[in-house]
Amino acid sequence: MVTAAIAVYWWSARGTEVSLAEFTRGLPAIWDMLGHMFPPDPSILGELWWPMIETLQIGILSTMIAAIIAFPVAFLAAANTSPHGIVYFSVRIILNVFRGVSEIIWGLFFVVAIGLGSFAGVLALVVFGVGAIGKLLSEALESVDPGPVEAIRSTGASNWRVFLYGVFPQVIPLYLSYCLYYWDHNTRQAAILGFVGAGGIGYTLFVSLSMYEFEQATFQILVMVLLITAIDRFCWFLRRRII
Amino acid sequence: MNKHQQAGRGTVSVLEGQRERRLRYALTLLGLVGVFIWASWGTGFNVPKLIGGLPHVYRLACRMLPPATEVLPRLVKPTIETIQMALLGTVIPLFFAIPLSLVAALNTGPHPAISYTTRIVLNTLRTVPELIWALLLVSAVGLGAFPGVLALTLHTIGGLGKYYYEAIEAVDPKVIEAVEATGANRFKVIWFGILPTCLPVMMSSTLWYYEYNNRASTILGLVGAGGIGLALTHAFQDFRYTEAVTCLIIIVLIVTVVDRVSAYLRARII
Repeated sequence: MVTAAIAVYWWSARGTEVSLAEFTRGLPAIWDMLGHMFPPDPSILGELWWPMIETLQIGILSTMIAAIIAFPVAFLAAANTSPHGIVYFSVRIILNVFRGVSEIIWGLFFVVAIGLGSFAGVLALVVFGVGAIGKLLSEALESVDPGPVEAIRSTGASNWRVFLYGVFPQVIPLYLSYCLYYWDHNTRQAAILGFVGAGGIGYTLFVSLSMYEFEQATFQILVMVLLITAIDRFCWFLRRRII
Repeated sequence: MNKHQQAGRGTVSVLEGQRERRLRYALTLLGLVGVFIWASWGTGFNVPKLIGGLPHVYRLACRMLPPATEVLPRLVKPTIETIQMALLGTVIPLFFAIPLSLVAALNTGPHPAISYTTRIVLNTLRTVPELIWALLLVSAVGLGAFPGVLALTLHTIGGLGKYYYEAIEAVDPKVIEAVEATGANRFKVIWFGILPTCLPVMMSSTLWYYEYNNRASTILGLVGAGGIGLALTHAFQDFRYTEAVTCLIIIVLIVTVVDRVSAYLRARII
Protein backbone atom coordinates (compact mmCIF):
# COMPACT_ATOMS: atom_id res chain seq x y z
CA MET A 1 0.00 0.00 0.00
CA VAL A 2 2.77 2.40 1.02
CA THR A 3 4.82 1.62 -2.10
CA ALA A 4 1.75 2.26 -4.23
CA ALA A 5 1.24 5.62 -2.52
CA ILE A 6 4.87 6.60 -3.01
CA ALA A 7 4.64 5.57 -6.65
CA VAL A 8 1.61 7.79 -7.15
CA TYR A 9 3.34 10.79 -5.62
CA TRP A 10 6.49 10.17 -7.65
CA TRP A 11 4.40 10.08 -10.79
CA SER A 12 2.64 13.29 -9.73
CA ALA A 13 5.93 15.02 -9.06
CA ARG A 14 7.28 14.01 -12.47
CA GLY A 15 4.10 15.17 -14.15
CA THR A 16 4.03 18.58 -12.54
CA GLU A 17 7.79 19.10 -12.76
CA VAL A 18 8.08 19.38 -9.03
CA SER A 19 11.57 18.64 -7.87
CA LEU A 20 14.10 20.06 -5.50
CA ALA A 21 16.22 21.16 -8.47
CA GLU A 22 13.36 23.08 -9.99
CA PHE A 23 12.63 24.64 -6.64
CA THR A 24 16.20 25.78 -6.06
CA ARG A 25 16.30 27.14 -9.58
CA GLY A 26 13.18 29.13 -8.84
CA LEU A 27 14.34 30.53 -5.51
CA PRO A 28 16.35 33.45 -6.86
CA ALA A 29 13.36 34.46 -8.99
CA ILE A 30 11.09 34.32 -5.94
CA TRP A 31 13.56 36.37 -3.94
CA ASP A 32 13.81 38.89 -6.75
CA MET A 33 10.04 39.08 -6.88
CA LEU A 34 9.81 39.67 -3.14
CA GLY A 35 12.21 42.56 -3.59
CA HIS A 36 9.85 44.15 -6.06
CA MET A 37 6.87 43.60 -3.82
CA PHE A 38 8.16 45.20 -0.64
CA PRO A 39 7.75 47.69 0.89
CA PRO A 40 3.97 47.74 0.36
CA ASP A 41 2.74 51.02 -1.07
CA PRO A 42 -0.25 52.37 0.86
CA SER A 43 -0.94 55.25 -1.52
CA ILE A 44 -3.71 53.30 -3.15
CA LEU A 45 -5.74 53.12 0.06
CA GLY A 46 -8.12 55.89 -0.98
CA GLU A 47 -9.21 53.93 -4.04
CA LEU A 48 -9.76 50.78 -2.04
CA TRP A 49 -12.61 51.81 0.26
CA TRP A 50 -15.40 51.36 -2.23
CA PRO A 51 -14.14 48.00 -3.59
CA MET A 52 -13.78 46.76 -0.03
CA ILE A 53 -17.37 47.64 0.77
CA GLU A 54 -18.43 46.13 -2.53
CA THR A 55 -16.68 42.88 -1.64
CA LEU A 56 -18.46 42.77 1.70
CA GLN A 57 -21.78 43.44 0.04
CA ILE A 58 -21.26 40.70 -2.53
CA GLY A 59 -20.44 38.26 0.24
CA ILE A 60 -23.42 39.14 2.42
CA LEU A 61 -26.00 39.42 -0.32
CA SER A 62 -25.04 36.20 -2.05
CA THR A 63 -25.08 34.26 1.21
CA MET A 64 -28.50 35.62 2.13
CA ILE A 65 -30.06 34.81 -1.23
CA ALA A 66 -28.40 31.40 -1.35
CA ALA A 67 -29.59 30.63 2.18
CA ILE A 68 -33.18 31.56 1.33
CA ILE A 69 -33.24 29.48 -1.85
CA ALA A 70 -31.33 26.54 -0.40
CA PHE A 71 -33.79 25.99 2.44
CA PRO A 72 -36.75 24.75 0.37
CA VAL A 73 -34.46 23.11 -2.19
CA ALA A 74 -32.83 21.01 0.52
CA PHE A 75 -36.20 19.45 1.27
CA LEU A 76 -36.42 18.25 -2.30
CA ALA A 77 -32.96 16.77 -2.08
CA ALA A 78 -33.40 14.84 1.16
CA ALA A 79 -34.50 11.25 0.86
CA ASN A 80 -37.01 11.47 3.69
CA THR A 81 -38.72 14.66 2.56
CA SER A 82 -38.46 14.51 -1.20
CA PRO A 83 -41.83 14.08 -2.96
CA HIS A 84 -40.60 11.63 -5.59
CA GLY A 85 -37.53 9.60 -6.49
CA ILE A 86 -37.01 11.42 -9.78
CA VAL A 87 -37.15 14.81 -8.06
CA TYR A 88 -34.69 13.56 -5.45
CA PHE A 89 -32.13 12.39 -7.99
CA SER A 90 -32.36 15.34 -10.35
CA VAL A 91 -32.16 17.95 -7.59
CA ARG A 92 -29.20 16.13 -6.09
CA ILE A 93 -27.39 16.14 -9.41
CA ILE A 94 -28.13 19.83 -9.97
CA LEU A 95 -26.85 20.72 -6.49
CA ASN A 96 -23.73 18.66 -7.13
CA VAL A 97 -23.03 20.54 -10.33
CA PHE A 98 -23.64 23.87 -8.63
CA ARG A 99 -21.09 23.20 -5.93
CA GLY A 100 -18.70 21.07 -7.95
CA VAL A 101 -17.87 23.84 -10.34
CA SER A 102 -15.71 26.30 -8.46
CA GLU A 103 -17.21 29.71 -7.69
CA ILE A 104 -14.59 31.42 -9.75
CA ILE A 105 -15.59 29.49 -12.82
CA TRP A 106 -19.20 30.43 -12.17
CA GLY A 107 -17.95 34.00 -11.93
CA LEU A 108 -16.31 33.65 -15.31
CA PHE A 109 -19.51 32.17 -16.73
CA PHE A 110 -21.74 34.94 -15.45
CA VAL A 111 -19.34 37.68 -16.47
CA VAL A 112 -19.36 36.29 -19.99
CA ALA A 113 -23.14 35.94 -19.89
CA ILE A 114 -24.28 39.23 -18.36
CA GLY A 115 -21.22 41.45 -18.28
CA LEU A 116 -18.63 42.72 -15.84
CA GLY A 117 -19.42 43.97 -12.40
CA SER A 118 -20.51 42.77 -9.01
CA PHE A 119 -23.89 41.54 -10.22
CA ALA A 120 -22.18 38.62 -11.95
CA GLY A 121 -20.23 37.96 -8.77
CA VAL A 122 -23.38 37.83 -6.69
CA LEU A 123 -25.04 35.40 -9.09
CA ALA A 124 -21.97 33.18 -9.17
CA LEU A 125 -21.79 32.94 -5.39
CA VAL A 126 -25.55 32.40 -5.13
CA VAL A 127 -25.39 29.45 -7.50
CA PHE A 128 -22.47 27.93 -5.64
CA GLY A 129 -24.01 28.70 -2.25
CA VAL A 130 -27.32 27.06 -3.12
CA GLY A 131 -25.41 23.95 -4.11
CA ALA A 132 -23.23 23.90 -1.03
CA ILE A 133 -25.80 24.86 1.62
CA GLY A 134 -28.46 22.81 -0.11
CA LYS A 135 -26.38 19.67 -0.04
CA LEU A 136 -25.31 20.09 3.59
CA LEU A 137 -28.84 20.93 4.69
CA SER A 138 -30.29 17.93 2.85
CA GLU A 139 -27.83 15.69 4.65
CA ALA A 140 -28.86 17.27 7.94
CA LEU A 141 -32.51 16.65 7.12
CA GLU A 142 -31.77 13.02 6.35
CA SER A 143 -30.13 12.52 9.72
CA VAL A 144 -32.97 14.03 11.75
CA ASP A 145 -33.76 12.04 14.88
CA PRO A 146 -37.18 10.42 14.29
CA GLY A 147 -37.87 10.22 18.03
CA PRO A 148 -39.08 13.76 18.69
CA VAL A 149 -40.90 13.80 15.36
CA GLU A 150 -42.85 10.68 16.28
CA ALA A 151 -43.52 12.03 19.74
CA ILE A 152 -45.13 15.18 18.38
CA ARG A 153 -47.02 13.30 15.71
CA SER A 154 -48.48 11.04 18.41
CA THR A 155 -50.00 14.06 20.13
CA GLY A 156 -52.20 14.39 17.06
CA ALA A 157 -50.57 17.56 15.79
CA SER A 158 -51.06 18.58 12.17
CA ASN A 159 -48.25 17.94 9.67
CA TRP A 160 -47.22 21.56 9.77
CA ARG A 161 -46.81 21.51 13.53
CA VAL A 162 -44.95 18.21 13.43
CA PHE A 163 -42.48 19.90 11.14
CA LEU A 164 -42.30 23.12 13.10
CA TYR A 165 -41.70 21.56 16.49
CA GLY A 166 -40.11 18.25 15.53
CA VAL A 167 -37.87 18.74 12.51
CA PHE A 168 -37.25 22.47 12.53
CA PRO A 169 -35.52 22.79 15.93
CA GLN A 170 -33.14 20.00 15.01
CA VAL A 171 -31.94 21.47 11.72
CA ILE A 172 -31.97 25.18 12.54
CA PRO A 173 -28.64 25.22 14.49
CA LEU A 174 -26.94 23.34 11.67
CA TYR A 175 -28.56 25.60 9.09
CA LEU A 176 -27.35 28.76 10.83
CA SER A 177 -23.91 27.21 11.24
CA TYR A 178 -23.68 26.47 7.51
CA CYS A 179 -24.93 29.95 6.62
CA LEU A 180 -22.29 31.58 8.82
CA TYR A 181 -19.59 29.34 7.43
CA TYR A 182 -20.51 30.14 3.86
CA TRP A 183 -20.76 33.83 4.59
CA ASP A 184 -17.12 33.70 5.62
CA HIS A 185 -16.26 31.56 2.61
CA ASN A 186 -18.24 33.73 0.18
CA THR A 187 -16.59 36.94 1.34
CA ARG A 188 -13.22 35.28 0.81
CA GLN A 189 -14.23 34.23 -2.68
CA ALA A 190 -15.82 37.60 -3.43
CA ALA A 191 -12.39 39.10 -2.90
CA ILE A 192 -10.98 36.91 -5.65
CA LEU A 193 -13.95 37.02 -7.99
CA GLY A 194 -12.91 40.52 -8.92
CA PHE A 195 -10.10 38.84 -10.73
CA VAL A 196 -12.43 37.64 -13.43
CA GLY A 197 -14.16 40.98 -13.50
CA ALA A 198 -16.88 40.42 -10.97
CA GLY A 199 -16.19 43.46 -8.84
CA GLY A 200 -14.59 44.12 -5.47
CA ILE A 201 -10.98 44.28 -4.33
CA GLY A 202 -9.94 41.46 -6.65
CA TYR A 203 -10.48 43.71 -9.61
CA THR A 204 -8.24 46.53 -8.37
CA LEU A 205 -5.60 43.90 -7.56
CA PHE A 206 -5.84 42.58 -11.08
CA VAL A 207 -5.40 46.07 -12.47
CA SER A 208 -2.38 46.77 -10.25
CA LEU A 209 -0.71 43.53 -11.22
CA SER A 210 -1.40 44.10 -14.91
CA MET A 211 0.40 47.40 -14.63
CA TYR A 212 3.28 45.74 -12.77
CA GLU A 213 2.72 47.93 -9.74
CA PHE A 214 3.83 45.23 -7.36
CA GLU A 215 4.17 47.35 -4.25
CA GLN A 216 0.59 48.52 -4.59
CA ALA A 217 -0.45 44.95 -5.19
CA THR A 218 1.23 43.83 -1.97
CA PHE A 219 -0.64 46.46 -0.05
CA GLN A 220 -3.92 45.33 -1.55
CA ILE A 221 -3.18 41.73 -0.67
CA LEU A 222 -2.49 42.90 2.87
CA VAL A 223 -5.83 44.70 2.96
CA MET A 224 -7.53 41.60 1.59
CA VAL A 225 -5.97 39.46 4.29
CA LEU A 226 -7.08 41.89 6.99
CA LEU A 227 -10.61 42.02 5.63
CA ILE A 228 -10.93 38.25 5.46
CA THR A 229 -9.48 37.85 8.94
CA ALA A 230 -11.91 40.44 10.30
CA ILE A 231 -14.90 38.61 8.82
CA ASP A 232 -13.46 35.34 10.13
CA ARG A 233 -13.34 36.70 13.66
CA PHE A 234 -16.78 38.26 13.38
CA CYS A 235 -18.25 34.95 12.19
CA TRP A 236 -16.59 33.16 15.08
CA PHE A 237 -18.07 35.68 17.48
CA LEU A 238 -21.55 35.35 15.96
CA ARG A 239 -21.25 31.60 16.11
CA ARG A 240 -20.59 31.69 19.83
CA ARG A 241 -23.52 34.02 20.43
CA ILE A 242 -26.10 32.25 18.33
CA ILE A 243 -25.28 28.55 18.40
CA MET B 1 -48.54 36.88 49.57
CA ASN B 2 -50.10 33.42 49.28
CA LYS B 3 -48.89 30.72 46.87
CA HIS B 4 -51.60 31.44 44.25
CA GLN B 5 -50.44 35.02 43.85
CA GLN B 6 -46.86 33.81 43.53
CA ALA B 7 -47.79 31.35 40.79
CA GLY B 8 -49.61 34.11 38.88
CA ARG B 9 -46.48 36.24 39.07
CA GLY B 10 -44.51 33.40 37.47
CA THR B 11 -46.92 33.20 34.55
CA VAL B 12 -46.67 36.91 33.88
CA SER B 13 -42.85 36.84 33.78
CA VAL B 14 -42.91 33.93 31.32
CA LEU B 15 -45.17 35.88 29.00
CA GLU B 16 -42.94 38.94 29.33
CA GLY B 17 -39.92 36.81 28.48
CA GLN B 18 -41.71 35.58 25.36
CA ARG B 19 -42.55 39.11 24.33
CA GLU B 20 -38.93 40.13 24.82
CA ARG B 21 -37.74 37.25 22.69
CA ARG B 22 -40.26 38.08 19.94
CA LEU B 23 -39.07 41.68 19.98
CA ARG B 24 -35.47 40.57 19.64
CA TYR B 25 -36.35 38.28 16.71
CA ALA B 26 -38.29 41.08 15.02
CA LEU B 27 -35.39 43.51 15.42
CA THR B 28 -32.90 40.96 14.07
CA LEU B 29 -35.14 40.29 11.09
CA LEU B 30 -35.47 44.03 10.46
CA GLY B 31 -31.70 44.39 10.69
CA LEU B 32 -31.18 41.57 8.20
CA VAL B 33 -33.68 43.08 5.76
CA GLY B 34 -31.85 46.40 6.08
CA VAL B 35 -28.52 44.77 5.34
CA PHE B 36 -30.09 42.98 2.38
CA ILE B 37 -31.34 46.26 0.91
CA TRP B 38 -27.99 47.99 1.52
CA ALA B 39 -26.06 45.18 -0.13
CA SER B 40 -28.47 45.04 -3.07
CA TRP B 41 -28.06 48.73 -3.65
CA GLY B 42 -24.28 48.48 -3.54
CA THR B 43 -23.97 45.56 -5.92
CA GLY B 44 -26.68 46.72 -8.26
CA PHE B 45 -28.78 43.67 -7.63
CA ASN B 46 -32.45 43.89 -8.37
CA VAL B 47 -35.08 41.53 -9.68
CA PRO B 48 -35.77 43.25 -13.04
CA LYS B 49 -32.07 43.07 -13.89
CA LEU B 50 -32.08 39.43 -12.88
CA ILE B 51 -35.02 38.65 -15.15
CA GLY B 52 -33.45 40.72 -17.91
CA GLY B 53 -30.23 38.79 -17.58
CA LEU B 54 -31.81 35.37 -17.79
CA PRO B 55 -32.13 35.34 -21.61
CA HIS B 56 -28.41 36.10 -21.81
CA VAL B 57 -27.60 33.19 -19.54
CA TYR B 58 -29.88 30.97 -21.59
CA ARG B 59 -28.24 32.09 -24.82
CA LEU B 60 -24.78 31.40 -23.43
CA ALA B 61 -25.90 27.98 -22.26
CA CYS B 62 -27.25 27.23 -25.74
CA ARG B 63 -23.98 28.25 -27.34
CA MET B 64 -22.21 25.87 -25.01
CA LEU B 65 -24.12 22.84 -26.17
CA PRO B 66 -23.51 20.29 -27.46
CA PRO B 67 -20.20 19.73 -25.65
CA ALA B 68 -17.27 19.42 -28.02
CA THR B 69 -15.89 15.89 -27.95
CA GLU B 70 -13.07 16.39 -30.43
CA VAL B 71 -11.02 18.28 -27.86
CA LEU B 72 -11.07 15.41 -25.35
CA PRO B 73 -7.67 13.95 -26.34
CA ARG B 74 -6.12 17.37 -25.88
CA LEU B 75 -7.63 17.67 -22.42
CA VAL B 76 -6.22 14.44 -21.02
CA LYS B 77 -2.89 15.95 -20.01
CA PRO B 78 -4.40 18.99 -18.24
CA THR B 79 -6.85 16.75 -16.42
CA ILE B 80 -4.09 14.51 -15.13
CA GLU B 81 -2.09 17.60 -14.23
CA THR B 82 -5.03 18.91 -12.19
CA ILE B 83 -5.33 15.67 -10.25
CA GLN B 84 -1.59 15.56 -9.64
CA MET B 85 -1.51 19.15 -8.45
CA ALA B 86 -4.21 18.44 -5.90
CA LEU B 87 -2.44 15.31 -4.64
CA LEU B 88 0.93 16.93 -4.23
CA GLY B 89 -0.61 20.09 -2.85
CA THR B 90 -2.14 18.06 -0.02
CA VAL B 91 0.70 15.64 0.70
CA ILE B 92 3.75 17.90 0.64
CA PRO B 93 2.24 20.24 3.25
CA LEU B 94 1.95 17.32 5.67
CA PHE B 95 5.69 17.38 6.23
CA PHE B 96 5.53 21.02 7.21
CA ALA B 97 2.14 21.32 8.81
CA ILE B 98 2.59 18.61 11.43
CA PRO B 99 5.78 20.00 12.99
CA LEU B 100 4.54 23.58 12.66
CA SER B 101 1.28 22.72 14.36
CA LEU B 102 3.15 21.09 17.22
CA VAL B 103 5.04 24.34 17.67
CA ALA B 104 1.90 26.44 17.36
CA ALA B 105 -0.15 24.49 19.87
CA LEU B 106 0.09 25.94 23.34
CA ASN B 107 0.32 22.56 25.04
CA THR B 108 3.20 21.26 22.94
CA GLY B 109 4.97 24.41 21.84
CA PRO B 110 8.30 25.54 23.27
CA HIS B 111 7.13 29.01 24.33
CA PRO B 112 3.85 30.93 23.98
CA ALA B 113 5.52 33.75 22.05
CA ILE B 114 6.88 31.28 19.50
CA SER B 115 3.51 29.58 19.33
CA TYR B 116 1.65 32.79 18.62
CA THR B 117 4.17 33.90 16.02
CA THR B 118 3.82 30.55 14.25
CA ARG B 119 0.07 30.96 14.33
CA ILE B 120 0.29 34.33 12.64
CA VAL B 121 2.46 32.83 9.92
CA LEU B 122 0.03 29.94 9.43
CA ASN B 123 -2.92 32.30 9.36
CA THR B 124 -1.33 34.48 6.69
CA LEU B 125 -0.54 31.43 4.58
CA ARG B 126 -4.12 30.26 4.66
CA THR B 127 -5.88 33.63 4.38
CA VAL B 128 -4.16 34.71 1.20
CA PRO B 129 -6.34 33.08 -1.43
CA GLU B 130 -4.53 30.30 -3.28
CA LEU B 131 -5.22 32.05 -6.55
CA ILE B 132 -3.18 35.03 -5.37
CA TRP B 133 -0.36 32.73 -4.28
CA ALA B 134 -0.47 31.13 -7.70
CA LEU B 135 -0.41 34.51 -9.38
CA LEU B 136 2.65 35.62 -7.43
CA LEU B 137 4.46 32.35 -8.04
CA VAL B 138 3.67 32.37 -11.75
CA SER B 139 5.13 35.87 -11.92
CA ALA B 140 8.20 34.57 -10.16
CA VAL B 141 8.92 31.13 -11.62
CA GLY B 142 6.89 31.15 -14.82
CA LEU B 143 3.87 29.30 -16.13
CA GLY B 144 3.07 25.68 -15.62
CA ALA B 145 1.93 23.28 -12.94
CA PHE B 146 4.93 23.84 -10.70
CA PRO B 147 3.82 27.23 -9.35
CA GLY B 148 0.37 25.75 -8.97
CA VAL B 149 1.67 23.00 -6.72
CA LEU B 150 3.68 25.54 -4.73
CA ALA B 151 0.67 27.78 -4.32
CA LEU B 152 -1.53 24.96 -3.07
CA THR B 153 1.26 23.78 -0.78
CA LEU B 154 1.68 27.18 0.84
CA HIS B 155 -2.03 27.67 1.33
CA THR B 156 -2.54 24.14 2.66
CA ILE B 157 0.34 24.35 5.13
CA GLY B 158 -1.51 27.27 6.65
CA GLY B 159 -4.91 25.60 6.55
CA LEU B 160 -3.92 22.17 7.79
CA GLY B 161 -1.58 23.70 10.34
CA LYS B 162 -4.49 25.56 11.86
CA TYR B 163 -6.77 22.50 12.03
CA TYR B 164 -3.95 20.41 13.41
CA TYR B 165 -3.00 22.74 16.23
CA GLU B 166 -6.63 23.16 17.19
CA ALA B 167 -6.89 19.38 17.38
CA ILE B 168 -3.71 19.13 19.42
CA GLU B 169 -4.95 21.72 21.87
CA ALA B 170 -8.25 19.91 22.23
CA VAL B 171 -6.57 16.75 23.52
CA ASP B 172 -7.83 15.81 26.95
CA PRO B 173 -5.09 16.75 29.43
CA LYS B 174 -5.80 13.55 31.34
CA VAL B 175 -4.39 11.53 28.43
CA ILE B 176 -1.22 13.60 28.48
CA GLU B 177 -0.96 13.16 32.25
CA ALA B 178 -1.40 9.42 31.93
CA VAL B 179 1.45 9.06 29.46
CA GLU B 180 3.64 11.44 31.44
CA ALA B 181 3.00 9.33 34.54
CA THR B 182 4.74 6.39 32.89
CA GLY B 183 7.91 8.49 32.92
CA ALA B 184 7.99 9.17 29.19
CA ASN B 185 10.00 12.11 27.91
CA ARG B 186 8.38 14.95 25.96
CA PHE B 187 8.83 13.35 22.55
CA LYS B 188 7.27 10.09 23.64
CA VAL B 189 4.38 11.95 25.23
CA ILE B 190 3.66 13.58 21.89
CA TRP B 191 4.18 10.43 19.84
CA PHE B 192 2.20 8.03 22.01
CA GLY B 193 -0.16 10.33 23.83
CA ILE B 194 -1.17 13.33 21.76
CA LEU B 195 -0.76 12.28 18.14
CA PRO B 196 -2.81 9.05 18.29
CA THR B 197 -5.63 10.96 19.96
CA CYS B 198 -5.77 13.69 17.31
CA LEU B 199 -5.16 11.36 14.42
CA PRO B 200 -8.84 10.88 13.42
CA VAL B 201 -9.51 14.62 13.40
CA MET B 202 -6.26 15.26 11.54
CA MET B 203 -7.08 12.69 8.88
CA SER B 204 -10.58 14.04 8.51
CA SER B 205 -9.22 17.57 8.03
CA THR B 206 -6.61 16.34 5.57
CA LEU B 207 -9.20 14.52 3.47
CA TRP B 208 -11.40 17.60 3.53
CA TYR B 209 -8.46 19.70 2.38
CA TYR B 210 -7.75 17.24 -0.40
CA GLU B 211 -11.30 17.81 -1.69
CA TYR B 212 -10.83 21.56 -1.35
CA ASN B 213 -7.47 21.50 -3.15
CA ASN B 214 -8.96 19.42 -5.91
CA ARG B 215 -11.51 22.13 -6.57
CA ALA B 216 -8.85 24.82 -6.23
CA SER B 217 -6.49 23.15 -8.69
CA THR B 218 -9.18 23.33 -11.36
CA ILE B 219 -9.09 27.11 -11.23
CA LEU B 220 -5.41 27.80 -10.74
CA GLY B 221 -5.03 27.49 -14.47
CA LEU B 222 -6.82 30.83 -14.63
CA VAL B 223 -3.54 32.54 -13.85
CA GLY B 224 -1.44 30.15 -15.84
CA ALA B 225 -0.61 27.70 -13.10
CA GLY B 226 -1.49 24.63 -15.05
CA GLY B 227 -4.28 22.12 -15.10
CA ILE B 228 -7.60 22.21 -16.78
CA GLY B 229 -8.33 25.75 -15.64
CA LEU B 230 -5.93 26.97 -18.27
CA ALA B 231 -7.77 25.13 -21.04
CA LEU B 232 -11.06 26.46 -19.69
CA THR B 233 -9.86 30.07 -19.62
CA HIS B 234 -8.48 29.87 -23.13
CA ALA B 235 -11.70 28.34 -24.39
CA PHE B 236 -13.74 31.16 -22.85
CA GLN B 237 -11.42 33.84 -24.16
CA ASP B 238 -11.44 32.42 -27.66
CA PHE B 239 -15.21 32.12 -27.61
CA ARG B 240 -14.95 28.34 -27.99
CA TYR B 241 -17.90 27.77 -25.73
CA THR B 242 -18.54 24.15 -26.62
CA GLU B 243 -14.99 23.37 -25.61
CA ALA B 244 -15.46 25.34 -22.41
CA VAL B 245 -18.44 23.24 -21.41
CA THR B 246 -16.45 20.07 -22.08
CA CYS B 247 -13.86 21.36 -19.64
CA LEU B 248 -16.64 22.17 -17.16
CA ILE B 249 -18.05 18.67 -17.41
CA ILE B 250 -14.61 17.18 -16.84
CA ILE B 251 -14.18 19.45 -13.81
CA VAL B 252 -17.49 18.34 -12.33
CA LEU B 253 -16.51 14.71 -12.93
CA ILE B 254 -13.12 15.13 -11.27
CA VAL B 255 -14.70 16.83 -8.26
CA THR B 256 -17.47 14.26 -7.93
CA VAL B 257 -15.08 11.31 -8.20
CA VAL B 258 -12.71 12.77 -5.64
CA ASP B 259 -15.60 13.57 -3.31
CA ARG B 260 -16.78 9.97 -3.52
CA VAL B 261 -13.28 8.57 -3.00
CA SER B 262 -12.85 10.89 -0.06
CA ALA B 263 -16.16 9.83 1.50
CA TYR B 264 -15.20 6.18 1.07
CA LEU B 265 -11.78 6.70 2.64
CA ARG B 266 -13.41 8.64 5.43
CA ALA B 267 -15.75 5.79 6.22
CA ARG B 268 -12.97 3.23 6.09
CA ILE B 269 -10.31 5.04 8.03
CA ILE B 270 -12.12 7.17 10.57
